[in-house]
Amino acid sequence: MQIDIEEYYKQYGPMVLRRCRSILRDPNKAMDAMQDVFVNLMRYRDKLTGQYPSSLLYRMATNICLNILRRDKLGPQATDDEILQEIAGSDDIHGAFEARDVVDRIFTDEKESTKTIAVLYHLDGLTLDEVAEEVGMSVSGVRKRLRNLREKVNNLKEV
Amino acid sequence: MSNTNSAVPDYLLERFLLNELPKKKMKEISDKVENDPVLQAKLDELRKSNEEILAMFPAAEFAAKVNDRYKNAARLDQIEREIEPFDFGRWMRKWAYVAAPIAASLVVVIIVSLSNFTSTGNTIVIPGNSGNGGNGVTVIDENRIKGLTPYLNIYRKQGAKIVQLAERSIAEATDMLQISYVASGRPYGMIFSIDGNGVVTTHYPEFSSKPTTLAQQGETLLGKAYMLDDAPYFERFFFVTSDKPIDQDKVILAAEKLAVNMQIAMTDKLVLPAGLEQYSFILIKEGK
Repeated sequence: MQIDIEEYYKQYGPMVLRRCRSILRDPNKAMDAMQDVFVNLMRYRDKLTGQYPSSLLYRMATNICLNILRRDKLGPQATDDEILQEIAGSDDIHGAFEARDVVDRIFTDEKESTKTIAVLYHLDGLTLDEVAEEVGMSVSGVRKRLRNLREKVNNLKEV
Repeated sequence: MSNTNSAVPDYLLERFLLNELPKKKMKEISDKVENDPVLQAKLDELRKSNEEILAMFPAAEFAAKVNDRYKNAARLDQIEREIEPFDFGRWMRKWAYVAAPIAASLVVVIIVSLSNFTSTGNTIVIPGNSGNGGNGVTVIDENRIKGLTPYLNIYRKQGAKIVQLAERSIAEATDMLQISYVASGRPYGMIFSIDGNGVVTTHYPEFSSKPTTLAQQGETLLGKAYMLDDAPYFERFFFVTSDKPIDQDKVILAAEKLAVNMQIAMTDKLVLPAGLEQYSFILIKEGK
């Protein structure tokens, strides 16, 4: 599948950049992350099958930014995600390191779709119905995944 | 954040603006927008932001940057696919007859080294057999593990394969090498090598008229591969980095001073102006 980056950028670039800015809160890092999103779009263009590129690009931007936060050992500064903020909202660096470890442990052994569900629900504020539609699952399935995730968080917090 | 049906999350609003939602959802949001001046204002803001972003970062310029990064990423992907994995079992079988005494020696060396090891960022290098082309074992300090130290990787084309070379690997004239660097946050850097004839060859920037700016995203391959010539004994690569733009003439002068004496050029550090860091990687030339 051929991709005209210029056209894609004109169409979706601003949305991607806004997403990156909202998570990273650093204009330079956000610009860099946006380039990564489009590089990945080119790298994996053969796997693109979705009807709506915006959905894919938004998700790619989210994942790349979360990876940057992890790489830079920073907490998710801009999110109001109650799970992530609760455990990773520490201001001090030492706390952020520990929190990052907790986040890693939460998502270890979890399906990629669980991470997507958590992001869409907690970070993006979609309703259960909307999340279910996005990931192609039933509402009860999404609810169950979120419940399991929350139990995992509670267990980790108690340890 | 929403999670209720009364507001529209940014994710959906962005896709609404792009007309990339299922019909039912488009209609639902469209109805909300019609009756909600706040949502209308938000959409207007997004439209304005679109124009500002596209004006600030023109599409052609952006596409050129992404294409450059894509080419680099594609070449790295290719190297990763082609790279020969190190077969520890095969190496052990090959060197089994010397393995026991070496192992015993290593235990002593490691114990002694660790007992003297301080937090100053030492690197313990246990050289591999120099005739085996790069089976050295390098135990790298904590800084390197955290990715805070700039470094080079050197790859060699071997037939259809691409092999990552370990320090002190054996190399020979006509070997085609690909150099890559990891800037680890340093914004400026130079890469050059000194050979056994005392010749200094610059690899990055290729010309002194070019800036020493380093790419920051992970591992970056230099634009061109490099063919080793028939200079004897060694080829030692240097990666000099800094937080400020580098005076290239001063660094090359330091390299030329080091290159005058072959013994020193193989082992000593460059004498550099303050604020510059250096990393080096040496290849031993075959048959010399």
